[in-house]
Amino acid sequence: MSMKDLWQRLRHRRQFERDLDSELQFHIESRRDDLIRRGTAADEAARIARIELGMVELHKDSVRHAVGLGAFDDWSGELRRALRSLARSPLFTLSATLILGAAIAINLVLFSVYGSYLLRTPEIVQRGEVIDLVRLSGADGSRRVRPTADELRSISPAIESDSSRLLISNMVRMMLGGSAPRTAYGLAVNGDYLPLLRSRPRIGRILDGRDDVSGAAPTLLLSDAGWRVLTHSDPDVLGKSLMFSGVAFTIVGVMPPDFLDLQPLPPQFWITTEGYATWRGHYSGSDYSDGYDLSVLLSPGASPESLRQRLLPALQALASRQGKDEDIASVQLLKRTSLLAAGDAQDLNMAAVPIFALVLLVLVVACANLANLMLARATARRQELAIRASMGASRWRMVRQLMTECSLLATAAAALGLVLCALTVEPLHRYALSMMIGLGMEPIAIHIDWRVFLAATVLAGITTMSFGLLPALASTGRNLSAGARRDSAIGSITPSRLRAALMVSQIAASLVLLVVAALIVATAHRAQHIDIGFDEQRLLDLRHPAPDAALRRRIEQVPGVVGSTAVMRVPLYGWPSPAPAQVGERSRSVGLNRVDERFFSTLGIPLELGRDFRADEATNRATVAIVSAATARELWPGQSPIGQRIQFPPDPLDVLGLGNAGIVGEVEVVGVAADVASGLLFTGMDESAVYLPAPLAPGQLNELVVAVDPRQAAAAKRELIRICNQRDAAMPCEPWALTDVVAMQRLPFEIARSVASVLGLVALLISAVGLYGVVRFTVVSRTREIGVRIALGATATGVVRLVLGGALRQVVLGVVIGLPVCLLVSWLASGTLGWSVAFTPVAYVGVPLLLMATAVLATVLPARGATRIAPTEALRQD
Amino acid sequence: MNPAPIIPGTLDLLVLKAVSLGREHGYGVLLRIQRASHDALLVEQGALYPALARLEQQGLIESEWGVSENNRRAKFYVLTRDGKARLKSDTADWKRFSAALEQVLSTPNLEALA
Repeated sequence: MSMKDLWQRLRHRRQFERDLDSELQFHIESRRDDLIRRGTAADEAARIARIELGMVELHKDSVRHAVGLGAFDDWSGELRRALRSLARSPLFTLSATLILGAAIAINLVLFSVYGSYLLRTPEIVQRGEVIDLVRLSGADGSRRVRPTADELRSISPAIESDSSRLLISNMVRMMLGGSAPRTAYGLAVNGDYLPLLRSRPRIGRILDGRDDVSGAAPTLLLSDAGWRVLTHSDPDVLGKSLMFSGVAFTIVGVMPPDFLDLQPLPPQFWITTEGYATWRGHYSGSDYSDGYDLSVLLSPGASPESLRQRLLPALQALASRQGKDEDIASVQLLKRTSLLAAGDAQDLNMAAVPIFALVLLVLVVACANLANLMLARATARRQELAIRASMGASRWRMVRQLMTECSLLATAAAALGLVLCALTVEPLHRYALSMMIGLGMEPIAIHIDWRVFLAATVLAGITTMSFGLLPALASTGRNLSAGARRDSAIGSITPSRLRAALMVSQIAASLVLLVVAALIVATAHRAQHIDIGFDEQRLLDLRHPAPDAALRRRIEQVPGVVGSTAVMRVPLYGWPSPAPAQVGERSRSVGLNRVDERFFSTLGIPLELGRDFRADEATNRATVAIVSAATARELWPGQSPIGQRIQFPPDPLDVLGLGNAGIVGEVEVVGVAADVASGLLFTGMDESAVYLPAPLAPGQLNELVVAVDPRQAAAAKRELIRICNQRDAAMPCEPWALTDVVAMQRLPFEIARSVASVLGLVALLISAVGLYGVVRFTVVSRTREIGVRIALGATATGVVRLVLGGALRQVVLGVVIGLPVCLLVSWLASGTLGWSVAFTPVAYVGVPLLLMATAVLATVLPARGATRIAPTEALRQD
Repeated sequence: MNPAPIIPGTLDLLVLKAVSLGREHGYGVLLRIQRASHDALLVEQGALYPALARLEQQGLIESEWGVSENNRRAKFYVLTRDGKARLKSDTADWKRFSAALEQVLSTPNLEALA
């Protein structure tokens, strides 16, 4: 029977029952009439008619089964019984739903974020697959730079065919002029790019081949977010221009909000590669070109291998034609399956595995916990189950009833999980990307789509099986009839052993989870509180493409600005570049940075020994050096570093990345500066830093760090933006506070810490609640035994100690099993974090203590209660 | 002669045949079977209604409410097109089966099989 028929029957159920009644009534009456006609007395005839038909209810049931209503009746009866049974213990039902709901919600949040980025496929108008160029490598395996748009265009005839089209794109950041200049994020694309995506503009038109030709007037397509942010939702934008650093881009269209580009962070606008080149030329005055990402749309049937065979020679020919000394030996191509570039997707998938493992571990803990509670409940209901068994219910039938309860719980928990997920996923997602949002980018929206529903259903199903089946089988097993008598010990062997095993494994899993969480929190804490060696609060990175002395003079006159310094690499942007050096007889690698004479004073880095650079030393690039304290200790232990010499082998220039810097040769150490942290914060101070003097000049140092009075920082920053944008519209600057850089570095830790804290807290709560519930139940069900013991002369303290011992044994066993796993995790993490962070004493000592305290609390309170009951009462208890 | 119980699985065929003789209610179907077999077959009254429901569920018969000969409201059944086809094929099957059965049962001795 189809579901539709069943639904029709259910809708007209009353009518069906009435009809069935009258049909059978008609049968009895007709038979009675026949009998009367044959001479039977009326009363007797009615009696015979009823007897002949037999048990009417039984026939009705057969009819119901014949039309498919029977199975439904059985099922709904089962459901009613399960609901009644759950309603009888509201505390259990509520805590079970909350525990499982929280665990499912955590899984769903992670899954919906993952799904929104990695399971959404790009929408392409043609059938086929998108292949990403992931990596170009030289013969030595090193990465080669991405080709430029012009280069890609020049090789496109060799690659493009009927079966393949090129998609060229590059994320660009441009400064939008006006009274309050702001950074805008866009995507420079080739003419084929947008037409190949399923893109219908909300107004106007998209960019196509017409726009991407040399000499065409620069045009621009806005995204919905870009339209709102960059034009303030101007309803009449078509034909207007946006001015980027002196170049006007004419707006030709606006995309709808639901348009998905091939980008995880949707751009605010799209321009063409030619439009970008026009802007680039005007802005920097050079013909420098940016590298572009390449994707190829392959028609069905065309093989990625044949694409590789066309692409590699074309790129190699290109490299040799331009006389590049970088060979290209291989190209790595990957099929794109999501909004992320294939290479990024691969990396993210790798990163997602341990995170999914962690949140699944929370689910495992929750399931082990619920299984335990179910088992305890089933044991408490042994009498009920035994009575049902003695009345002829099969084991399968009883398992089914227990499983129905479990699936009801799991369904409620999944629904709760879905609601929690829907409420929290978008705020969490925006929090995780708050830095990007702060910079003006708008992330894609997270959709709670059918996949999330499916995941919730699957999780509900899996959890039902995992927390319901074992307890149901164990508690309906052998010796059930003994349960009817209630004088057996606390259930048969099987459930209590299973319960102990579940308790032990739950505690072990919780411990692992908590130790991992503590590890993450400790790492985050370290990143949060590390001393970076200078006061980043008062520093701004000017981020001007080519600062010069004139600009510097103007900047230093801005109210609130207290100084400035030129550097090669701004601290916090990465470790000093490693360079090979010779100290005495030893060769070693040292971290190298170039700074002007005001670096240490501007950043407030104290000099521990010797002197600072002089102005003339910076101008002349004198052969002197200041080393960090750590470097001094390492290179000259026990000696004065002042006057020591460091030899740089010929031509370290490629390493330095300074084209016309000249040979460094030998330098003399004139000072020792305090250590600073310029790389990843959590790894601590730089292991090695050698500072060489250089002046602010094109081709020398071109990063300017400005120190401001913290009280006037915001006003000074505004003024700086105004000055360097006003001075030459083609050369804008975008100052960043170093505190933002620190915050950006800390954000992942901040997020990891929040996530780990929540996971750890949930696991701890689940463990504690479960432990309490189960231990308490065990004690309560032993009330009778305790009464017997006291009647036989046991003291109250002795009884409590006995009960407590049993509970603590399980906790200790769980800890003993969990600890090696934790130690393994810590040992693996210690490679990157250092053992002192990886081995988190708080987790290793605190968590077992907390679990034990919970066990003690859960044991002592009811056990003491039990000892206070008079033995006669306890013995009478049923 | 005592009436024989229905061989399991044949009730549906008997009901189909009885309904094929014309529109009839459940009680009437019962009477038709008994009369047609000269009271040799005993249909268990309670089994009749599940059988009718099952056949209706399979789309072999249809039902409608009407008024009986004694002026009572009764549920009448008629054969559908599918029911006719089924009756025909099932009847043929049954005849083949009973003929085969008859032959087996009438085997006089082992030599007859040679």
